[in-house]
Amino acid sequence: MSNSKLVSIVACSGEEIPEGTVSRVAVWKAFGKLMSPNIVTTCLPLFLAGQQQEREFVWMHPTVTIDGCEKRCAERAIRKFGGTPKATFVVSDIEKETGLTPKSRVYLGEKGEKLADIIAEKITGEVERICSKGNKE
Amino acid sequence: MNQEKKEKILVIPCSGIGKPSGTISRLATYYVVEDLLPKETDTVCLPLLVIGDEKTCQLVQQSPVIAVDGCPSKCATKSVQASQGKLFASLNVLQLYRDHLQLEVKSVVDPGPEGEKFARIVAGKILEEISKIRKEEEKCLIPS
Repeated sequence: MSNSKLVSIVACSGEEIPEGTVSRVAVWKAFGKLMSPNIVTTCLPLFLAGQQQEREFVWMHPTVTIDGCEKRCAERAIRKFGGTPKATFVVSDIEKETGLTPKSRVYLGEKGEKLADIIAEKITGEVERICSKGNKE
Repeated sequence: MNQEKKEKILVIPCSGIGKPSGTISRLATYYVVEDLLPKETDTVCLPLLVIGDEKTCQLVQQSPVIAVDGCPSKCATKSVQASQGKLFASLNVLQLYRDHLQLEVKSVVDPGPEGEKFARIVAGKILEEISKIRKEEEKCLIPS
């Protein structure tokens, strides 16, 4: 598959809240599910700190953001620096919808893991959709 | 100095998602702020700081900060500096790892038992920096 089908995944990873942990675990679960060389994680702090390589990657490839809370740092950051996310997910919204609350920032617990699984499914679906349509839509 | 008067020390990890060292920085921070010194320390979201959230920027300007970076890009350190935060110390997980190469850090999601052990070592380094901050604070209280 050509490089033009790379998809960038940006998780907030917010340290303050359990939902930040859910966002990063969900991303890695999606990686495990897809087993695809087409998805690449972008380090949000590095992107925000102005790393040219990270920014160019986001400008050139479709991006999916996963935010932990309504502050939507990942989505806002991508938009602020010239990117447009193809899809955005907010963990706290999905948490409300499903009633699955993570136990803590370190140990997600059964419900938190299940929440991460559900979000990973959503990421996987979105990446597959983007890849099947191609990047140049 | 009374415990109540002590400012909470902020420990800010990079939490980089691409490398296990980011996970170690995060885990070490949680060992300190949740298990070891919950009353004396706290953490804030690094992305929130970098996007310029007013409350978070104020916090890092008012409290002593220990940044825990996972790679040479030093995002946590640079972000605290850019926010004019009170950066007291800057730790680098990769640098610390040079002395513990025998410990295998498994992966980003699951650092494994040896990764957790290394995270506890990093937590120990954070505690050393916290002691230094407290000593500095005590010095300031002693009249010259």
